[in-house]
Amino acid sequence: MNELLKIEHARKVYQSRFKGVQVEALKDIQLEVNKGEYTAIMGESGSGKSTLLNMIATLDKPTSGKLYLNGEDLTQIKEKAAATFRREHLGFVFQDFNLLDTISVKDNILLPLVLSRKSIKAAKPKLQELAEKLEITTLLEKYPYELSGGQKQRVAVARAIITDPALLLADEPTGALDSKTSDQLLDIFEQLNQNGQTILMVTHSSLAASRAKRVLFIKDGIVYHQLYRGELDSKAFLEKINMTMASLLPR
Amino acid sequence: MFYAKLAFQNIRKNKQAFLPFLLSMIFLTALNTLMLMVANDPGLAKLQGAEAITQLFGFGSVIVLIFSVVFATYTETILNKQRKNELGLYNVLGMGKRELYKLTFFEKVINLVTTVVLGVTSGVIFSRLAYLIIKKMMGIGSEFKFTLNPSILTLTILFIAGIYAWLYLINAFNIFKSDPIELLHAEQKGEKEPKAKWFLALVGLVTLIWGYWIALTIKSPVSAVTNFFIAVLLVIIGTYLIFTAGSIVILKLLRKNENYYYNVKHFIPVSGMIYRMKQNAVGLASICILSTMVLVTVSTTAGLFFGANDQVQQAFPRDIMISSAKPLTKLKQVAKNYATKEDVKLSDMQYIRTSQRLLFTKKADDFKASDRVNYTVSDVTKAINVVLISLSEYNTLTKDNLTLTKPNDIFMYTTAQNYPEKTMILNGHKYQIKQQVNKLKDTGLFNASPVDSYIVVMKDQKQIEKLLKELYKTKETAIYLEPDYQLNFNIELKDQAKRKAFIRGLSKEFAKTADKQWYSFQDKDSYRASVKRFDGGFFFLGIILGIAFLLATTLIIYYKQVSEGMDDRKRFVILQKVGMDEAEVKRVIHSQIMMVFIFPLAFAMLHVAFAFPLIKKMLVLFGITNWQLFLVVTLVVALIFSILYYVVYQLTARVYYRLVER
Repeated sequence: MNELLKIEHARKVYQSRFKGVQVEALKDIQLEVNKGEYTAIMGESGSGKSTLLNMIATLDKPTSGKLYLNGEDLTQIKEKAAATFRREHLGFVFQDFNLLDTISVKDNILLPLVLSRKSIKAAKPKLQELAEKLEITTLLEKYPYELSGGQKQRVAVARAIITDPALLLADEPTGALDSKTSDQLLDIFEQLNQNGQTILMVTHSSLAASRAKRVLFIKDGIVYHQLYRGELDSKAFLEKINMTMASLLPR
Repeated sequence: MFYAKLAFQNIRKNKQAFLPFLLSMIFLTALNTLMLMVANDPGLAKLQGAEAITQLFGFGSVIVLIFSVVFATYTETILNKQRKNELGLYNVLGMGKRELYKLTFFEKVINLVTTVVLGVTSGVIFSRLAYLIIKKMMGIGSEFKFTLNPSILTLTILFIAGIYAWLYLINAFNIFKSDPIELLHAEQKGEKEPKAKWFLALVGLVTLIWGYWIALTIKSPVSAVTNFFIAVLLVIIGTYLIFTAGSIVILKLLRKNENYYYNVKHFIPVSGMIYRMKQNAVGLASICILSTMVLVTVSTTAGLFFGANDQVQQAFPRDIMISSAKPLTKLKQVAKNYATKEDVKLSDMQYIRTSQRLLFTKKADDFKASDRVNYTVSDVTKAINVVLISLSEYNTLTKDNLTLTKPNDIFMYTTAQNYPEKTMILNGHKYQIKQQVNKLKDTGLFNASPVDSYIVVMKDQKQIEKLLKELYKTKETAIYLEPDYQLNFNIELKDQAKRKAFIRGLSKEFAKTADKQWYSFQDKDSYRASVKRFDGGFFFLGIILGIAFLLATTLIIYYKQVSEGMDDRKRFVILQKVGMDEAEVKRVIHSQIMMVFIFPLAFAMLHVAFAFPLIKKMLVLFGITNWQLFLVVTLVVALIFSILYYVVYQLTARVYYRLVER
């Protein structure tokens, strides 16, 4: 199989600031993502999804267990190399966009390339192509604070994929958007995925999750359940997701 | 009472915002107390020669008063900015504007009481210390006592209360014009990118260069004083414009250059600095101006202080100097007799007849006599002194043995840098310079003058009188025909008290014999004392003002770091998420801090470098011609200041790092 991400028995325990209280954010996560997959991870707040995402993003390390990306052991990456690794292999889309207000949209998109010391001249055609695809060509010279939420998120997507990352990580990408712009963003994700981009999205919106090809449910630190979309259209898939979620509700 | 309690709690819980504010207010109060106490001290005013200090401190206290108002306003606006959120929250929680006025009023009252109590106390302590220092520096005896003047204290307190009333007005106005939502979200407003103001940047550059040009091209120290203020004004305007408009123009140009800009080393700093300059250009320019003020005041006054001996030596080549338009042979005998009677040796006696100091304007070798009546400022820069002396007087004075044969042959000595001409034309009379004689320099007689002097040695007294009659024909100028007799000598006495007694006795003897002959009697000792008093007071004032400006600089830097740290934190969190590693983040933060650190200091040093020739020329007016000494003093002051500045920066940078890396 074309295995891109593999997580084996990942466990994460947080030592509370106050004496002795330990919080187990992740108990035992077992997970594989193949190349070209579009996976959504669902779970309520406190279920451990953010911890999981942070570990994949090399921002955090598991207490025990292993994580592999493209066969590379993420737990062995040193703090210093982690930033480079993130830059070269991962793309990020955040709920709150995380764009720099002090630089233009164009510079925001080019930022990861600048950080990787890539030639900007070579990146320009790429920038144009991406901008057209994401319909932000006219916004390039503007500043993030002048944009609407949906526009900001499209810029963030452009920034995330300009480096051709192996894996696009999206953390509640629709969280700050209204339903219309959410739909637009999810369309873009679907398109990207059709062009071969592997996407891992964390969300608690079943609507957003229903656009993915596979949905994992996390509860109390373990992967509780998973659904494959298969031949279902997104509407039918949404139904299934909602039913699963209802069954997960505490009784 | 509820509001008073709440106000008290606010201040206690908001230490980070209130502490620097309170500290700066306490400091301003202490400074004002000190200045006003010294300036209005009755004991000091009675002391002979201390008027100079009283005057200087009176002048200084006005500067400090103005500075206090400006600086208090600056701190208040920053405090308001920091507290906008908090007040907005109170507003949302149900406090109306009326209640907010009340609350902030109580805050101000509490602050005022704290400021007055701590400020005045420390001010009194510092002025006691200042008295000790002044006493030590001026060498005043124990009769000089520290007195606490209640009316001055009241004045200081009233003044501080006035400042607080003004601050409260600013505060109230801010609350008045704000609405609660704006108060709550003050920080979240997207900031517009500053526009590149080419015109203003250009104006700034032109004013700065103009100011520098004036400083560099000043020829005569006499015109230096007036031009100094124009130059200072131009440089201040130029600095503010260059920091605010020029910096952004330059940064935007850098950004246009893609090869430069899209580079990890430059990308973040350049884009960050564009915003940094918008918020902080005024702060940075103020730091630059204040630093320049510290450097200039301290180095000038230090130059005066350490050059005091030069100053005395220049003005007084001998211990006693007597001059008159009539021969001084009688007085010479009186001095000798008195010395024998008192058993004191008189040495290095000079007795010489010259012409008076004649004011001329000079162009190459063409000298035109000026009558001092039709005298314009532009002439001042071309003005020089000419002194005529006969060959026999010259030979006696220098123990030389020169001869002149032709009536139009002369010897010449000048205090100017050089005189390349072979001839000298005095109002159309051409003279041939046979030789330039530097022996006159050692006599020390002609050095103490703000303008260059030309000493002309003529064949005999007849030639001099003939020339003088040609030069000064009118009634008003007849006074220049009179000769100038000088009698100078040293007293071979070491003990200060004995010298003083001898000088006093001698001047009494002179007064008895002189009849109605006009003469002037000056002694080096009292001149030295007054110079020391003046220069010492000046230096002390320089240090006080220097410390005041330095502390103001410190506070501005501190405020800057805090406000920037809060803004930059968000940026660096994003950068780390996007894939910047910690080491890189640290490096960028560091380079940014260093840029902001070095920029104002480097500019201040540049200002000082250009001011140097100007100050050098002004010091000549005070008789300090040893510019190497002044250069050393300036360099030492600049070095000490840089170290202090660096320490301040390091301390405040920690606050910044803590905020950013939290």
